[in-house]
Amino acid sequence: MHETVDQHMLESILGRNNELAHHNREHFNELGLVAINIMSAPGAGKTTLLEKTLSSLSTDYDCSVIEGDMIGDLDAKRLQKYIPAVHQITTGKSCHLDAQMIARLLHAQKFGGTDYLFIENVGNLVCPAEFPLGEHKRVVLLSVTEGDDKPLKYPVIFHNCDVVVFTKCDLLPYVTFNMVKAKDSIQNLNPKAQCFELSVLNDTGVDNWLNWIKGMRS
Amino acid sequence: MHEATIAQSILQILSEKLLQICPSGQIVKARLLIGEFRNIDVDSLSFSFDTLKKFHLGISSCNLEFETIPTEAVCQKENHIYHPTFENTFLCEQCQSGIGKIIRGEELDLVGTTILSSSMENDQHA
Ligand SMILES: Nc1nc2c(ncn2[C@@H]2O[C@H](COP(=O)(O)OP(=O)(O)OP(=O)(O)O)[C@@H](O)[C@H]2O)c(=O)[nH]1
Ligand SMILES: [Mg+2]
Ligand SMILES: [Zn+2]
Repeated sequence: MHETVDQHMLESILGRNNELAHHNREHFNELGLVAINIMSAPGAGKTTLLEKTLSSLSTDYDCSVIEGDMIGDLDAKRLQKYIPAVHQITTGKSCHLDAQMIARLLHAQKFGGTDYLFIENVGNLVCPAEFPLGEHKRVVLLSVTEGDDKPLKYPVIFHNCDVVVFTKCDLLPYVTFNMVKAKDSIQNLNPKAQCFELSVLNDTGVDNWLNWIKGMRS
Repeated sequence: MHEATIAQSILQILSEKLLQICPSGQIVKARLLIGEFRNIDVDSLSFSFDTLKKFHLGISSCNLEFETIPTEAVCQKENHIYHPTFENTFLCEQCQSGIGKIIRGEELDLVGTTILSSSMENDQHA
């Protein structure tokens, strides 16, 4: 037997995902749309924020959604009340969307004319952080009921995002969530991250979020 | 867990490499660099890899070897190079500012393989 040792290779293990993410980005740019990847722990309020966002934006902008869930189409059905272009990706055992899932959809469906493509990732603060999709902006939601320690416990996703949205702020009087501490932790992990505080229930702070979105097309 | 997806990616890269270099050979070792600032659990990755490798011809006896790369960052205020960790709440010990830029610790790379083969075929490609 002959032994061949190769110590000079350097191959990125997720290189294929990253190439496909790059490919998706080229599609997004050709289509002239803004793609926003929305990530959070399960139940932080991604779909609720999208409902609110679509109800406001869809009168002036052409919006599409890619809805990632491990099972079922409950969220997609909620969003179809606002726009027809909601595409479900059911990931099965996989706890995140990956660039290939998005690429398949981009090749199979028509996104011409879309201004904004919102991608609701599978609820999870760990896995989605490892799989860029080609999105222009990465948004992480943190609901105040989850605790102000989450940025420190999930530093990778908070380091690798553009925006953090604190959701369910109407519940702040009932929980011990220290907003200053949470924002400090985010700033220490990611000085470029922009933060929004909002409550969809009370309709407070949503305008700042919507203006940020609109700002990407003006 | 996404470690299964990552194990699949490693197997795919190894299969392609084997096909290219020595289709009848056996990859017996693969060396990985895993950055500390990645959400990768090495035990869970090993477990997934060992479960899945049985289904891959020429890789079924491959062992993974890991090198963990500690996180190294430039701090926000004074450009100190430091090791951000959960224990120091990711702050620079010298000036108490946070992460400005991560320079090491985000690796997820395959950096080496050992292939066993009958010498004939291997000599052609060596
Ligand atoms: N009090 C309060 N509750 C909210 C708010 N936004 C969302 N919720 C509630 O939080 C729960 C989860 O909301 P979803 O929008 O389904 O959360 P999600 O992140 O899409 O959940 P998954 O897709 O399953 O990960 C629902 O019961 C919402 O009504 C808010 O602003 N205030
Ligand atoms: Mg949802
Ligand atoms: Zn410093």
